Amino acid sequence: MKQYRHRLLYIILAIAPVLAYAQEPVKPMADTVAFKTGLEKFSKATNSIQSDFIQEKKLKMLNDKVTSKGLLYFKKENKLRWEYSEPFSYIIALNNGKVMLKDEGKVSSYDANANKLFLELNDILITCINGNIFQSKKFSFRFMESEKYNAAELTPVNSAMKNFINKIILYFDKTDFTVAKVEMFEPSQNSTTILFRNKKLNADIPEKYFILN
Amino acid sequence: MTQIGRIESKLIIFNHYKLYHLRSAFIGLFFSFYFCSCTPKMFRDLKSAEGVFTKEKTQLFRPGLKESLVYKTVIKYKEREFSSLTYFNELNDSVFKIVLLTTFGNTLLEAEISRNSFNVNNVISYLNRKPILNLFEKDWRLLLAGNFNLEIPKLYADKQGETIFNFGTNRRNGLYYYSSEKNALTKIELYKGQSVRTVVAVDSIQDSQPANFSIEHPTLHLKMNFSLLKKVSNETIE
Repeated sequence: MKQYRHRLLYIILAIAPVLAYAQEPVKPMADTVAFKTGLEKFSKATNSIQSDFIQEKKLKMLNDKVTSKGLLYFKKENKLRWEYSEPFSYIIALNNGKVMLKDEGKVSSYDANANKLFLELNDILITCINGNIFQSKKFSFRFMESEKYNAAELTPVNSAMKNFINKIILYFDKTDFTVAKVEMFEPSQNSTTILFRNKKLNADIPEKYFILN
Repeated sequence: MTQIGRIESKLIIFNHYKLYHLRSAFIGLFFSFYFCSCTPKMFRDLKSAEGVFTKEKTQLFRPGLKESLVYKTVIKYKEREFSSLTYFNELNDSVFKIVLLTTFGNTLLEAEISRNSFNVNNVISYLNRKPILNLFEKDWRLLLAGNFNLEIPKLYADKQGETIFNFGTNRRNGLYYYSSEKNALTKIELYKGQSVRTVVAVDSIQDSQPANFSIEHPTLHLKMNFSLLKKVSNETIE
């Protein structure tokens, strides 16, 4: 009986990584050069992106999920606008390094200390669309792929960043090289997944979207 | 030893004995006077609320939560204002979990609180300071006193439609305002001496749980507003 129990344990241990990655890239990327070249081409051809997003935060301690929804706008070189509509109306705009925030119609201050992960994510998204993400010295990179996605796993190099992030996985749509999904894993074992849908490339996005007053 | 010597030694023992008792009595009197004088007049000679009190009258959060309560939390400190999210759930009727997140979803603080313990499971470095964590614990203990306290409070006042209960000892007193019309707790005031240190105002109730409430620390210029959010349906995310 004991022997069978051990065998069962070995089987579980053997298939665990496969189960964990069941929905995710399961093999190392075959051609990273082609992927990077494709991303560079996409970056050169893209001036703006507009997309719906669904964000899901998994809280290990409460065994609960936090779901938010909204719209994301990006305009070259480094303008971003996160417009949350659910669970409440909230806008964060980044314009050439300046962070602005509008909470239910009221412009308020932004706590950069509390939002290091958020600022890091914005930096990653901007550098990603601008095509220079893989030149970053902040992360080590691992490339994977599945049928639908090319994926880059970013692991922080410096210890300060490791305090608030374990790793970030960016999933790129194989058809158009846009970011389809982002997964962020915190040391607390909480994680955040952001799914981008209905992407519009090179739409005309007014400048005022990135100025909050 | 002569007889005089024996009498003298007995007298010395007696005097020592008397002195010891006198000293004890004096110390006892001093402390009872001290504590009596420390308890503000408004909280002295209150009677037990036995007969009027039921546990739910002092409970801000009613037991039996099926899922977490999510509050948009706006923190106002002096001129500055920040938004965040507070998740609150019960593990059982005497252990509660609180998670504080940024609006984006970064974890700021995860804590577990019960009658006898307060454990911080995870906290962002810049909030990991004793005064901040102490204040956080004290605030949640104030909110959950009705859930934690096993003893019957004292009755502060019993006016028409409003009963005020007092949990406290000497200089720290918490007043819990129960409205019979709303069948809910409407206000909590924490006193240190005679001055109000913390005010919890409950503006609305939804399904027996607080929907809108605030915690104010007038002396610290700090106010936190909590508004219950409707959870976004659990849409499947790839």
